[in-house]
Amino acid sequence: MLSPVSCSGTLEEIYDINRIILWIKELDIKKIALQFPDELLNDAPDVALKIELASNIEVHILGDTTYGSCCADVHAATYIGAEALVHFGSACLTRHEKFPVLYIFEKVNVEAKPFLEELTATLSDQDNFIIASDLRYYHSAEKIVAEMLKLKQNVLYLEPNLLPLQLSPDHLTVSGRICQKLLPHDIPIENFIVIYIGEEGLTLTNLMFTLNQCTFYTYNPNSCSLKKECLNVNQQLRRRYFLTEKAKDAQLVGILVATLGVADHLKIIEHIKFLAKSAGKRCYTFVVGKLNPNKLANFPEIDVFVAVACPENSLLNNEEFYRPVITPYEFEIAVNSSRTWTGDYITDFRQILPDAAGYVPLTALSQDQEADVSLVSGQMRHVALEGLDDDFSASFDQISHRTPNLSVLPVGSDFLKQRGWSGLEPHIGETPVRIAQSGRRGLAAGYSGEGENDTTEENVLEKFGEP
Amino acid sequence: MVNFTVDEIRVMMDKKRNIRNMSVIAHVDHGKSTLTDSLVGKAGIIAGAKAGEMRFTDTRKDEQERCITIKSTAVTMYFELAEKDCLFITNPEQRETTEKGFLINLIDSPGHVDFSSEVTAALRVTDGALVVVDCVSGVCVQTETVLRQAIGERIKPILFMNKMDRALLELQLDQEALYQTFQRIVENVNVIVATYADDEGPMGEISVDPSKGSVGFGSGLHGWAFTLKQFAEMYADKFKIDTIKLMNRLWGENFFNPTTKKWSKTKDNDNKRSFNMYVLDPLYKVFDAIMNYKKEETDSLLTKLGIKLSLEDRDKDGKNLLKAVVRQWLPAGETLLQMIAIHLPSPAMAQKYRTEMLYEGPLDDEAAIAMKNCDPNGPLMMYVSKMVPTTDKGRFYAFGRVFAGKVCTGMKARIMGPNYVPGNKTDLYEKAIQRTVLMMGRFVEAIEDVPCGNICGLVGVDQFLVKTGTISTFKDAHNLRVMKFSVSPVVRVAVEPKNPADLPKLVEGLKRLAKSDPMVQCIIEESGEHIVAGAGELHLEICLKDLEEDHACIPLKKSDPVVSYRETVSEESDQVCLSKSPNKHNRLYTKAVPMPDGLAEDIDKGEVNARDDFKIRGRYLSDKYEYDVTEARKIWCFGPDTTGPNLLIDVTKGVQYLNEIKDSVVAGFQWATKEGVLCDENMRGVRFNIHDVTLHADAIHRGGGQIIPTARRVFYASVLTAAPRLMEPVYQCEIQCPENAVGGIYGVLNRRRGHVFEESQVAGTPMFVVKAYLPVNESFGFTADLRSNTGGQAFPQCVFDHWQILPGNPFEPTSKPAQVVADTRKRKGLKEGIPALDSYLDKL
Repeated sequence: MLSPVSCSGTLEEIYDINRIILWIKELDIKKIALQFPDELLNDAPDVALKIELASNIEVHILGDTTYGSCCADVHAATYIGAEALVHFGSACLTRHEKFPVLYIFEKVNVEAKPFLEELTATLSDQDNFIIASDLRYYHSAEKIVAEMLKLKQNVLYLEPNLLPLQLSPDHLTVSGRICQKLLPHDIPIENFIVIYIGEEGLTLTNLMFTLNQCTFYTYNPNSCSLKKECLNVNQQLRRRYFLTEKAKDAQLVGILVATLGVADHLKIIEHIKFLAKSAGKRCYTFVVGKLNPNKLANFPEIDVFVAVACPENSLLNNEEFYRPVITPYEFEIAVNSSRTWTGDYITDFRQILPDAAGYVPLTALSQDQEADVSLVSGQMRHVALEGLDDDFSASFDQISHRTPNLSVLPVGSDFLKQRGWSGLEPHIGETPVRIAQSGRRGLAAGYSGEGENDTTEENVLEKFGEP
Repeated sequence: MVNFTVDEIRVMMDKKRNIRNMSVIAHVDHGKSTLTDSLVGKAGIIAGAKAGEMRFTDTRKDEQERCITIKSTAVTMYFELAEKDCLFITNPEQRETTEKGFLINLIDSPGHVDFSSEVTAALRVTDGALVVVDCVSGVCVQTETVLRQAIGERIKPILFMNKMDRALLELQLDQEALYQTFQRIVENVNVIVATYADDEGPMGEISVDPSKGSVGFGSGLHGWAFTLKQFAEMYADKFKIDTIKLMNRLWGENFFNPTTKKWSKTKDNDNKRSFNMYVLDPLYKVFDAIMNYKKEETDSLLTKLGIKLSLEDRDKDGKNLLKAVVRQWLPAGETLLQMIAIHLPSPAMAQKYRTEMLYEGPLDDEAAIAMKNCDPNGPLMMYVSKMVPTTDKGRFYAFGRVFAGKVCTGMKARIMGPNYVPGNKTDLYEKAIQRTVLMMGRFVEAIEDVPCGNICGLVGVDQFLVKTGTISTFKDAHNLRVMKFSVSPVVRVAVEPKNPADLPKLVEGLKRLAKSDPMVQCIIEESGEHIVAGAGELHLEICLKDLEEDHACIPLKKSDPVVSYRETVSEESDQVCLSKSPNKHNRLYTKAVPMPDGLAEDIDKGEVNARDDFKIRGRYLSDKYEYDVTEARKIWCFGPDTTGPNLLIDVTKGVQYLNEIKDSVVAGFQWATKEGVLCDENMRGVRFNIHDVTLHADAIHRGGGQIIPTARRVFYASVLTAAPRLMEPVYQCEIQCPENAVGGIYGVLNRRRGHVFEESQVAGTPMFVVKAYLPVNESFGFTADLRSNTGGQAFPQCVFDHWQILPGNPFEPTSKPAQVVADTRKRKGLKEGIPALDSYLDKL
């Protein structure tokens, strides 16, 4: 993290204030927002003050980011009327709607020499490498790559993609990083070894999911050691596969909006809605801010949630959640029969949108697919196709000559029907009539008068007029 | 040459009183398929000479190679019964007047216990059962199991003593010993029958009786068989007695003195048992003459019996000649036909008493009445009991029985899966039936329509059913009851494609496999593993072979067989556990208590279930398990899947808003019992008591989001404080062997944590039966091990029996359960180690 311990120097140096001021001048704006992750909020006032003094514009500080702090909170910035945003610290580098964003990374030096020594020691027989790095090592990683290029033939460098460049799909783009060089055609990607400079984290997981055919090594600059990553990606992928099977069974789908900044998030929501509809599933959109199990368990009738988030926040650990939370890509595998599970994995939802590289058009379901065996429950799963309902009642009519009145209930109300408790308990005639009294005051975290003494509970009960 | 045409069969199908639907059931290797050949041969489907060797109903290549039936196979046959035999059918519901033809739908079923689900599926669609018993080994475990199932389904049995050739040629039993053997088998069978039903029941007389002709004797391999009826007919003229009267004389304690020509009820020096004298004696004479090459005696016997051998047969001698002679004298096909036609019920008769067992709906609705009357003009009611693969890969014939109405090619019908509830739309499809077909062993014949009382296959409904279902045209029809299997899928294997890109093919293959077998379970686990679960090692072996070769058609990687475990508790929680909701405003206080012995099994069997009236259930629990009546009435739910063997009971007193959070607590309970705290396995035999609840007064702060995760945590904490244990499945294992092999069996069982609970000699044979409990986990390779340790003389039959606690504390790292927990967690990709108590237990 950007902390005085790991990078020595003045605030100007750590936060690259001069570069920010230059950028502001270049843009010629009146108001700017600075986004800090929680752990850097201490420095925020000083940095803001310096920028304000130097560039003479209005500066706002954004803390407590709505979703992940890796995403630039463009929404909050526009809300306060800022015209540009400076994002500090680690970032997921997702492309945003048209809005000027400047990323300021931490700068930690990595010595090239121990790295190369370690590399020759452990992987001397290998030739093909892909280098990626944590953003804080970004500025030294370039040097290392240059050194490596002198020694080896095939070294590809995944550098952060800061410019909204539209590159041809031949370029390898992973998790906000892009490789300027084209992949050689004669070497399959499995033959590459990915070396990630940095520690385990969401970025690494994300890279490993996307490049799951490659072997991964991480280089820890502190201990100067190269370690083979043993996160069992296959097992993880299999677990994700199970979730897609569950999504196939789902009747009610919840779309979780967990980003407002990532470009095309509205398009993907529309896309998911379209997919759900064509698969005969009902869907609802939820905006709940940061995701946690408690919030989502408030909607037990939803069978599966699809989280629209930046790639790094998409892969949630599902163990704690009452209902699984999957990525748009997984949802598409579940409902789009022309997209099959190949073991490749796309974490960036923009790649599955129409016109994107990974787009697969939806094929209409044939009659054979209308009914399917679920391997989760071992029972039939019904894919309600449109027009089926009319079919149904018409044919019933022919057979039984009765008025067809199969009431078609929405799935959600089916769930409500199963509930044991369906509203207030009226206790009509069981409680004495009382004159209305003033209720509680204050916040739910502690109403006034609550917790003062042990008898509070009784007091409260009395107030409600029940024994 | 097949001596009937499809058109003839179609005509017969309308004569519901002349139809016999029957299955052939028995212990493994007692000769069902071989015996079936005699009938198939008589029908002309296979050459008579080949009968007994071909095993026509073993249609699969591996069935032929292994000499074991794996799938049940149906054959439809047409026969004409001789006029004199027709007179034996007295019940008007059993024969259309003046009609001599009979349509027999026969299903040959496997005998190995691993495939007994196939037997269940066969029994459901038939009305009668031919129980085959090897007269050398007598009544075996599987004989008893299938017979019990048959009686449970209201299937009328008839008995056939097979392998008489062995008794005569190999064992050289004398006549009286053979009679005693027969007598004992008949008795054994009748004891089993009487245990599960009596003759006054709705089925009428169901015990078997040689003197009535419902017991046959013979050899399927040699193709000869007889009942007392045939011998009685032979002597009837001579004695000038009525055949039926004579039949009674030929069995039991009836002795004849040839000199005084007097019958007696007791054995004296100068009289002989009539069965021995009139039935066995001629047979022994023929055997003796031919096998000892007494040419002249043979010739005189042949003339006496009126047998004219063909030129070809005349050149034979020894066993081959014997076969040819006895086969001509007492043809097995004819005997079986008589037994089936005379003693097994027609659909018209059987459906009267079977309807109430089969139909879930009210017994006075249109469907039930049509079924009872076997009315072809009523609404269609058909039960699909299994799927038979077609030559078209991945497609199946839905095989089943029409109970009412008519099923025709092209008609629209409602296809109702096992989860269909009338008025609802789940598991319901409305589709056209593409084609109806007649199942003829390895062939099928297209047929325009099939009226009630018949067995047939349907094309075009397979994709709407997993394994079984009901097909109807009646809008308000309820389901026909699902079948209950005597085995459970407890052995599991994880499969994955060798090439990861083949995964979709594997998934397709698994779906097909799930359809093709009545018992196998194909599921994807939370860990993403593809699991195939079967009843035993052999069953799994066959399923995996089918999956690899027929359904998925890709090379597979298979894990070693594993068993699934259950999580339980062994003591009451040592404290009342408390968990707070994320907002700290709601508290749940619970304890976990082990259930008394037998309750979990009662829930499995459905004797205690969620649908019962709470008062009746409460009384049952208090009477049988000494539960407090008021508590037993406040069972909130069963779990997992709302039916499982765990209970959630509200023992709180006067808690406000409790009803409001009930659904959330129940959801948490279902979740926790499905994925237990030790290693994500189902829980079993745990009762959770909710002792107290404090809730936030504001409804918004005690919603599902607050309660569901909290309930799960508090249940986990309760389990962790109640000495959690693992349970493993246990087989009941029955081993038949000669006495000298018993020692070897004990050795093998001891090494595998098995324990013997019964050892007995089969009366009248040198065979011993050892009964033992054997953990399923230790049973892999058991058969082979046993064979090598007993010189191939012992053959085990293992059936899942119960769950048993795996001894040891899972918290002690060296114990066996701890090892299982660690392995399971690793396989499922969970965090290492059982989660600590303090991650679930909160302090006040």
